[in-house]
Amino acid sequence: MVLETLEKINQAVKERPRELVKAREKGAKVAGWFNYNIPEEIIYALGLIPIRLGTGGDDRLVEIGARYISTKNCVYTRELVGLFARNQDPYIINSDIVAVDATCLQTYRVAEVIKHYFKVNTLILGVPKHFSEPEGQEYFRKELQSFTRKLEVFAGTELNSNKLSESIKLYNDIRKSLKQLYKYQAIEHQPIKWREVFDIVHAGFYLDREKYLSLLQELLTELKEKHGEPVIGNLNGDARILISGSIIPPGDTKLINIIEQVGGRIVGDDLWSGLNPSLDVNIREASIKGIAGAYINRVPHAALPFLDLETDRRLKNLKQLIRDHRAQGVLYHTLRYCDAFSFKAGETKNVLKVEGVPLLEIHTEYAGSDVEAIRTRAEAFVELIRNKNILENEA
Amino acid sequence: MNELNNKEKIFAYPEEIKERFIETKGLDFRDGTHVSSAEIWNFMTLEAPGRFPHAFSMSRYHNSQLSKDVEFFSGIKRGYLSLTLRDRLLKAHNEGTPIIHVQGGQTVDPYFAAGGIPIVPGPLRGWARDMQEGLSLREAGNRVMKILEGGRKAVSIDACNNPIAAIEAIHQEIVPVDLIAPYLCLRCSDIGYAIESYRSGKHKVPVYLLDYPISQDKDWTVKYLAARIHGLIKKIGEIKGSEASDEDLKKEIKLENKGRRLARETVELSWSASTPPMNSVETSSTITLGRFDRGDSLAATQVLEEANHEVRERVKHSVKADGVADDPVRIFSCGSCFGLRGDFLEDKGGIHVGTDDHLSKIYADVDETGDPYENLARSVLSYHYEQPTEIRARWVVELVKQSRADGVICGNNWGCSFQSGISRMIADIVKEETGVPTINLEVAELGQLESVEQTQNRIESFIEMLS
Amino acid sequence: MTTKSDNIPKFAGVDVGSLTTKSVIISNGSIAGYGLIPTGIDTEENGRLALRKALESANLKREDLKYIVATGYGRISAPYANKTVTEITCHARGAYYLHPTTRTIIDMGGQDCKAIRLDKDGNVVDFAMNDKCAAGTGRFLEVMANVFKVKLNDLGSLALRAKEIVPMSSTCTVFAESETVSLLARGEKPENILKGIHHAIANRVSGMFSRVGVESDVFFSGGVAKNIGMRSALEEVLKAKIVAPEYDPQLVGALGAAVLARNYSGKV
Repeated sequence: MVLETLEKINQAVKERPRELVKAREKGAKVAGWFNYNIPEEIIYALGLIPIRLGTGGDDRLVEIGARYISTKNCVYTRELVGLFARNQDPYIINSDIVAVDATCLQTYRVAEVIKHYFKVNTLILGVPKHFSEPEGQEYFRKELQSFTRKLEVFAGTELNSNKLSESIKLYNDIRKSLKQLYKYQAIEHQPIKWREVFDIVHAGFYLDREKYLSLLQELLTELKEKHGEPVIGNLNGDARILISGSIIPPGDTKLINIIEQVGGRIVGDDLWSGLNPSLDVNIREASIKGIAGAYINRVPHAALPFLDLETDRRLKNLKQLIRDHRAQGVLYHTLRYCDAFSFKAGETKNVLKVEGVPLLEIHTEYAGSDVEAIRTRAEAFVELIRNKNILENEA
Repeated sequence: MNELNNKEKIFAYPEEIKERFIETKGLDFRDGTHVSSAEIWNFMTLEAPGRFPHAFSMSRYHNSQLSKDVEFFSGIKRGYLSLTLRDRLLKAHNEGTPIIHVQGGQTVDPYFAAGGIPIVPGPLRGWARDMQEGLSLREAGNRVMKILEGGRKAVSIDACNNPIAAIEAIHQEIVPVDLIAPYLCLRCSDIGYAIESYRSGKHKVPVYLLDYPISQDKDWTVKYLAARIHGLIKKIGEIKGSEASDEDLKKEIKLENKGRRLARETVELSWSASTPPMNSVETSSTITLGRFDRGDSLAATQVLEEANHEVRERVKHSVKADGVADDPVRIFSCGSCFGLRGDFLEDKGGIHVGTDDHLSKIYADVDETGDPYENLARSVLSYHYEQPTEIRARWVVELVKQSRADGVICGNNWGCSFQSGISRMIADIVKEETGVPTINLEVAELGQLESVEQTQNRIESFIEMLS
Repeated sequence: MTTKSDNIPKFAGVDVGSLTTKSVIISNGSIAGYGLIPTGIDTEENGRLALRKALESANLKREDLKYIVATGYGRISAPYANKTVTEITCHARGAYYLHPTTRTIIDMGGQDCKAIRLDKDGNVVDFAMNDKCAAGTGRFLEVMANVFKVKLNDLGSLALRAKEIVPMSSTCTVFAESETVSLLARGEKPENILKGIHHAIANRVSGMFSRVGVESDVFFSGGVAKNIGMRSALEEVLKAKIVAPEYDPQLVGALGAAVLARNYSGKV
């Protein structure tokens, strides 16, 4: 059954670069951003057009990027530099300013490199490592205030509390809609695939956010009319896999393709280019303070350290998502030199083992040289899960 | 038998300097002990060669040899501080002084002031190695590799060997460390992640992290870091059983400012001299001693005082350091966890004049008046090495000019994501602003005995190009 | 081999690896024949040829086979097979068939290296494979044999003659090769360097094992299992005894595929 709204979203994404050019001709300004903790609510409320930058999976861009940074930087950051170096990506060309937060410091280095070599107008937001300590939270509030002041100057307008309230509502609705979409892709006879939902999340990096929300709501209405409320009930013997780990940005389809080819079914993710940014954002007041508090109290990105295993909310979140999506195995994707995620692979595996959930780490880059090796692993993992299903059914 | 086997040449200090050496002042330590120069001489000539034979190896393949400029007496004392580190740390730990594993190249005033002993990854790995005595160079190299492999196995092969081997040594309980409390700064991509990934290990060591945000020039950043330093002092106090006062802090700041100033003056004097008064090893060691990495800020300052005096004398009398060429190619280096081998450079007609990472430390005095916590935070945040790259590069440009460097080697260690990311940028800026040639190197050698031919080949060609 | 066409069902496994292609036929619960050839360019033809060799050695014809399972990286071009299964599952089956108390398998093949954990019934419960790194593979040892100008088969016994270990710092095969050249230039003894190399490989492999855990009995399969130096280094680093091979370790994957063929055939 074809979902009509899906086609509309795809069409809208295709038209978006042209739209941006036109909007800029009329005086609108585009604020591109990358890393993990830039609150789009503020960008939007200031009348700027937010665009989340960055793609993956293109080894030529990685090569270009490596001329400026090093092969000891992860391929995502190398490609990011490559994108700016080549300067053909429509979103990069159309960004009037590039905002970068200092969550992953390797990605922060990219901001320094593109400022120096390509004269990109960057704006930096500091992020504390002690996100749960009062002094860390205070630091982030101050940083976000200062960031906003600079953005106000750039936008030529001051942050207006009505506009901010509207913006917060818009983003809350987007996040709510995406969470609902994730439920649909996880039900037994999936009316929409995880991969399609993942692409829709990425469409939200680019589309006008109001239009995006209306498309999301239209899609949810279509799904409800055709399939009713999403209930994740019976499982049908699929090898249900949740993807976790390093960022999988738009364009990086290597692992996803392989999992599909070997017959695995992805039923969810806790990726920062997937569901994670939609989780756990509780803005208590329509102010910079409210937004700072909400962002810093989210389940943190892996670059921010948890010293205590017992209170690690990342693992708690992962376990919850496994339960919610009835996943039977976790494919833990790590990019080479993405230490934030790679270093956690062993421990995450041990933690999930206790829960009876197998984890397979795939440590890779964008080059195609290891596709067959990954295929073998992914296939064996699917065999393992299926075999486990059979044994459990027999028991 | 080749020279790596049992018959390797062993270095010994010549008897003819003994008499003059033992007439020099001894060293005072923070715990109140005094060691005379005669005792230092006995240790360095009789005891240490038996206990730590690897340190005296003159094999071509020994990467961290003692300085052969034996007339530079303070250098012998610095060697003493290195080779007694094991004994002093064990003694201190047994007497209730917290041993604290910290980040390389950061201000250590608060750790000493709170009554602890800070130890950075490099010396900590050496300490772990020396917990077994009598090792030849080969055996020492194998022991270091074994600890490192344990770390790689526990965490990841992608990790930089410096932090991973240090933390592995702590978790294997090879060395008794009471607290792990590093700064989480841009110098190191791995220490924070490594500590986190050891959290579920069997051996529980208290951890206290000090965030080091990238917005160094903001008042709220100073307040944030000052609050963390407060917490650090408290934490060390809890372990030790008594908390340091503001006065303790101020006293330590004064001492370390003196050490930093002495190191700075000594190095600058050496740079300005027409004939180099210090060889590469002595220059690097003077700089690193100015960051008090050998476990005792008091003794280190005394050694620096003596080094300062010796350099003044040598400059006055135009005495050139032993083993250095007449007009050596002056090499400056950029980057952390990466060193240049002094005796190799000198053998090829070069000399190492400093590294921006370590120099950063001795150029960061702490204000002695006002709130010591905020002053410490301000000093830490002023580190040139940790500034945004364009600002750091401008400082390197100044250093290159001041040290009259002929070439700059930018380097980073295997697995380091934060330094590798901007190594080329620094090299490009420095080359553009100074016209001095630069090269970029990635190394994977931090032990005593690793195959360094490929790195050396590049360095040798670079020196040939410059001479 | 005297197996003739009879009414007893025969099953074949074909393992198309990166360096060699193997085939094993089982009949009535025992091994009836095998074929082993170097892998050439035509993946599909390699499989067919190895299978033909196995049939010849068992004195059988293609029609005698009831079910064929293909495995190895070449399984994607195996139209002659009824089913394809990954070599992880196959090695598990093969090792379990030969040695039912196996709980951990180290498999070192031409281009990859695996750590596999089994439950008491021979089911795979966990596994890990080397990533983008050739250390611990047949290919790497081939390169090293070339550097030392010795036969691949002699590499392991040469390493066992070492009196010392030369530490290898390289994390990467390509660098390990140049590091080795440097060490030879220094005048280090080849056997000592080789021991260092075997230890470096064992260390890389043990990193994989730290993810899946080691439980006895430990079974060593794949072409590299024939290397006694590697076996000894692994035992030292993993601190575990490896069971003595009862069958050509290179054929374990193909054997497992044949065992699986028998199982699947029953379910058809």
